Amino acid sequence: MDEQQKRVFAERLERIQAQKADPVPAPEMPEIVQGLNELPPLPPVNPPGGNGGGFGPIRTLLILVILLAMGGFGAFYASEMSDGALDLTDVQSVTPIETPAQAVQEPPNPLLAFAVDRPEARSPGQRTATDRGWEHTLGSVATPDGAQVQVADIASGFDPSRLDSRPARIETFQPNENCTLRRPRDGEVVRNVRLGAGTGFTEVHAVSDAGIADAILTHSQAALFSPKSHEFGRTAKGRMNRVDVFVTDTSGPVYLVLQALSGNTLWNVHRGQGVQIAHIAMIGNTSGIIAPNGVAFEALRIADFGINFDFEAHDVAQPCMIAPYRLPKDFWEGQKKAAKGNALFENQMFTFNSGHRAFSAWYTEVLGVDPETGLTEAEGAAHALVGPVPPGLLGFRPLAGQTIHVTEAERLLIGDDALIEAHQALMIAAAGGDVAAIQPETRRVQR
Amino acid sequence: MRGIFGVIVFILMALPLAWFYVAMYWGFTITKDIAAFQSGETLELPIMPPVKWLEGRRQVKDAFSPDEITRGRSVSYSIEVPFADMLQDGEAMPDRALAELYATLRTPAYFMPICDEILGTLAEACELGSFKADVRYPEDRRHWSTTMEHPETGLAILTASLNYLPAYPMGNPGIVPNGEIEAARVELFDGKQVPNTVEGRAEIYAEALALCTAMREAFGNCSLRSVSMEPRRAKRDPDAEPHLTATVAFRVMVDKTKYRRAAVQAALDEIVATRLASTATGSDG
Repeated sequence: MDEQQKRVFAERLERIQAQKADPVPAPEMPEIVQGLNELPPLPPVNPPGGNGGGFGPIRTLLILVILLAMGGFGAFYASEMSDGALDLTDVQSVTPIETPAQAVQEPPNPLLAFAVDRPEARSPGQRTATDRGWEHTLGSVATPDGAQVQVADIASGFDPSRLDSRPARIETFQPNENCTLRRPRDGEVVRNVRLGAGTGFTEVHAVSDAGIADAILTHSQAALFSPKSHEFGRTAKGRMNRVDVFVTDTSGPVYLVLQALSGNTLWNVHRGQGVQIAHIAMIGNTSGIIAPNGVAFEALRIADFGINFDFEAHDVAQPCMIAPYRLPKDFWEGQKKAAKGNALFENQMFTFNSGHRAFSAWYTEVLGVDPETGLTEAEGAAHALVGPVPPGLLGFRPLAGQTIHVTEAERLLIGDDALIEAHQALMIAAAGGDVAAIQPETRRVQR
Repeated sequence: MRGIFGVIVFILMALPLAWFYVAMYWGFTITKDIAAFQSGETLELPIMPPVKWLEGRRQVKDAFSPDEITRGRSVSYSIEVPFADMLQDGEAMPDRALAELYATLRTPAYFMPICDEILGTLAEACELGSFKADVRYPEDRRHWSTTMEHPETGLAILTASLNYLPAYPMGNPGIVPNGEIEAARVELFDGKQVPNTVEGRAEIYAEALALCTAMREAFGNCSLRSVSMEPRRAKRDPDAEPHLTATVAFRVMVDKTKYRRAAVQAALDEIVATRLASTATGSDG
């Protein structure tokens, strides 16, 4: 290659360089430059003040968004996996009532490491609209007219942060064998509380032997073969949910009907100034009560009457449809979703409507009034008001020291530790005295 | 914004290119190993190919791990015990709601003798894998005929699988080029039953081992996936001696460019046919 050619080529190169606004040189440049020492130095690869890799702001933003999204997913799954350990919501306002009461003694064998599910701590004094109506957290009261009321407006001496979960004693009583209740007498006013489930915390457990056996089987399989599984430590579920009922209705002797569709419920009934309570009837699974002195009570256990809960089953007359369904309201999220054509909620609301119709027929026949009369309802609540907000405060009656009356159950236990011990004792007995027998040592060829 | 497409295209093109190099390197190491192996050099061969997708790795480890008890090698068996016999002397009969729990938690002890049985022949070490128990009563019409002798206390059906570390040679799956695990299974003795005794079961283990040895001779490696022994009850004669049938599954690492699953099963069927023929002539003579 002669000098002339070289120069022409270099000039052309320079022109091309000048034309290019982009300061980044073509990658093959350095080799050619070696032979062209006389040429002026090439512009720097990264001009000062340039944006480095040539990433435009949009691209940088896009990459940032992708990375953040990935980080977000990571954090989400991490929090899922760490069992909510990363859940920072509500930490400030959490009531310490849900913290473990007493650490159960570390078992000698991990096969006996049972754990009790405790409800999640949530910020107190609030209510949220859910698919099936209001869900009240501790301190917020379900009211007949739907007004927002706190326990502090009704009763004194209620401390949501105080751990008050253990009554002193349990006495049992038989639920009704027949599917009927005492007929209200002349002058009695029927008032009723109907909940999806109670949400107050107790350490009273109503469990069956079969439930405990089932939990032990699930737990032992997990303990032996997948110790990271959430089934490790599984215990039978049967915690009673406390609901404080404040009766303030003075329009006549009150015939109180307390109902919960699911869960076991312990009704803690308070009587306001000048209030007469004539009778208390409970409908639910295992029902318990702390009744004012001298008030008679009875209970119906839903499971005793073989109710068919299949879809559309409530359309057919059932002799004893006592499952206390609530009538869907327009503010229910589920009702709104159904109105928008969400098939899942259309079905659910259909079940609630037909279930309520069937329940209403039974209730009206037995009590002579329809179940929407004198009703206080919620999807979930730990306190319910029956009557108006009283002019003066009632005294709140804590659980501690009380004797509660509960419908008969195979096992009624006070204390989460008692529940764990029941599981441990049964597991040891079932294994024949020593749980180590469940996990025999590996056999090896003897040499 | 246009720049992003360049980046995407670059990544999409770079991925197969990167994989190409990895795969080439893997192939290269295997070729080198095989050449060295064939020329008679002693080699420290990895048991697993250097690169394999995770699922494959798990499967290879499950089937061929030389030092771990895995779930990929098991012997399963089931035992019928009158539930009352599972209780200790003087122990009260628990409530029926608890019978399944009692039976299940007492199941392991019943299977450790089976572990001892396979030690030395099949297994170097043996431990209990999964287990369950079912207590049946004559009220359940399906089980009336089997449980009628224990109307009150029930009959427990215990099932367990034992996992073990093989005592038999498995060959080296690591030297198989384009290796992929294929499985094949066969019912032993052409479905014929053997007595449900220590001797009968020993016969099953020996036959399973013999078949695996033949498979190893054919493919260079073999792992006994499972030996499943099913107790059989003579339908008409409840007093007849209990018998067993057994199904055995094998896993071999084969060159996937040479063999398909059907070929592995065909090879096993042929081995079984040859053995059946030879035992038939053997018993004739």
